[in-house]
Amino acid sequence: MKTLFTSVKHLFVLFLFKLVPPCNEATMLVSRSFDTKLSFKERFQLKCHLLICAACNRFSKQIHFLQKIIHEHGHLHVHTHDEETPLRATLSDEARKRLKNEVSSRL
Amino acid sequence: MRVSGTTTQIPSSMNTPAIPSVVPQLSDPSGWVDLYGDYLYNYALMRLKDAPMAEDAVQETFLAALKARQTFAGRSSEKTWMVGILKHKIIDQFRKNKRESTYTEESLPFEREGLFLEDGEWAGHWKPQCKPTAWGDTPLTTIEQQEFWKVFQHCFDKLPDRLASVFSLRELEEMESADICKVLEITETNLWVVLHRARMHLRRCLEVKWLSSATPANK
Repeated sequence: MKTLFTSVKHLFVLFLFKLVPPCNEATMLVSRSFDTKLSFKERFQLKCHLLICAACNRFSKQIHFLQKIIHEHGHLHVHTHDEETPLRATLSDEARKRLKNEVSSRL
Repeated sequence: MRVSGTTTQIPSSMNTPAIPSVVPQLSDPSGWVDLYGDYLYNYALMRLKDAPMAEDAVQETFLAALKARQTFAGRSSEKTWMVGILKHKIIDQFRKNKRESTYTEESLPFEREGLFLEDGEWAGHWKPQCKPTAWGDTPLTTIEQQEFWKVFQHCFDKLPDRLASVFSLRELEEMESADICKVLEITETNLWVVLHRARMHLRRCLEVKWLSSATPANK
């Protein structure tokens, strides 16, 4: 009885997932929604997929979290460095000399 | 509050003869290389990932700044002003460099790993061992954030150059997709694929390297 129930459940879940695009396409849609407006059909498909798929739901939340933290704080840690964080690389002495010459030759 | 206080005082001071110090002044250009050289170089290197190109961008920034000295309005700090110029120079470098970009690139770790099932009735769905793990809902503490950026930097460095440049233009400079396509001369479809790959990589890399070790309590 129990095995019958699990196999029916399995078939039902499989049937549900056949109605929506697979996870690899859904993740692509999540990503693309940041860069363009999805079509109505795509938005609908993605919504349905996220309704039944816990993994992609998590994925979507994580991608949104990443996006948010990069937009909010990325400039501090990635593009620019605040005074406390040591710079990852410095100009070579040669390059520094060359730059100084370039600048002073045009003063 | 303080802002409104100062604005009300401005009219009275405007009647008095102009104070010379109000005119925005740039520091002596001969000191620029020491003051901002390393900072700008870092900024450029992060994006261009190529030392000679980054040096070029910094040099052109200084030269452009010299030329535009008179137009400096003092609305922002000198440093911010220079970063603004550098951003344009970096985009110029990308534009010059685009001919070297190829579309056949080495695969990323997450792609070699294969996150999705390839066949069977569940083809296209997450492999059970690759399903995204719970990251926890609490906002990051300061220490967690520091750790996060360390790992982020590590993961970001692993991105191939072209993916990194597209990603930084899109997510760090927050440029519009259409503008990036113009600068790099790629199609929009290509841009989406590239950004998707970069995001997939960063997410997976962070999950494996940072969250799995740093926050076991969230599991």
